[in-house]
Amino acid sequence: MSMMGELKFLLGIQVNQFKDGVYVHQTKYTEKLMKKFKLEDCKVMNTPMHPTCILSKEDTGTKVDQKLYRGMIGSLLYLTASRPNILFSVCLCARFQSDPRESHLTYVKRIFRYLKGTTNLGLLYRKS
Amino acid sequence: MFGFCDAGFAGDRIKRKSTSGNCQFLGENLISWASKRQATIGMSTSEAEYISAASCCTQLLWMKQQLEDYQINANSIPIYCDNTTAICLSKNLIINSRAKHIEIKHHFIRDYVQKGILDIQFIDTEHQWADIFTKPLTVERFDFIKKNLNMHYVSD
Repeated sequence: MSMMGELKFLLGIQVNQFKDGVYVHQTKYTEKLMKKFKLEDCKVMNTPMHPTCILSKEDTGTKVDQKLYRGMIGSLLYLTASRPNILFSVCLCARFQSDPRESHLTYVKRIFRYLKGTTNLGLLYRKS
Repeated sequence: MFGFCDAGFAGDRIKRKSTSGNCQFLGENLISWASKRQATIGMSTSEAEYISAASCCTQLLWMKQQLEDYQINANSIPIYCDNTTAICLSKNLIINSRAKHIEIKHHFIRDYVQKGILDIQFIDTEHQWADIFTKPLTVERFDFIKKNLNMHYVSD
């Protein structure tokens, strides 16, 4: 193995090392996701989920493409590696993967709309 | 090193199961976090919190073991819980009628509290950072906790 300088990018996770600490974020991965799911032009939301939202399994709405839904959930789950704030909403939506409906997909898209406004959010590890 | 544990009671609309949320800090840095639907159905909020405290405890014990490899010994690690009943349950070895059905596996936390390895402490809901892993929050609360989890915007 050769020395390639300090760690900057590993498995889609970006690492920025500063004097006061280390930032771990997935800005590029998030941008790639927005492009992949064609959601670059969506409106920005300031939370990933509405405080009073109710998701139900007994939804009679139209069925949506399961492959797409699962793909979205899978990508979002990887994103939780540097974003604990969306963990709850992603896990809640992940429970409907077996029979995703239109309303469930709307909630997943809302998470993406939140991500759009916060692409460069990351975890900071301060030096003590 | 310290941990936060919280629970969202009956957050699952279908199975009426509760959600455990916990996060662990090393110094002031967030090290690990989890949000998980509980396997058993809790009959009360305190039972849900108690189960969540037990899962937070397992993670902290693992972290303690890892740190021991670096010759760092931690004792009486604080776990912050916002439910006084759950705290009493872990400190008191008496089992009352409302708690006697709780499975043994959730009671192992008592042993560690007795030995002084873990220390369950009360924290008000306002400063309970694990709140973010158990329920959807309002914008102000969401941003407040986000900041306290050491999440910041990276500028290039």
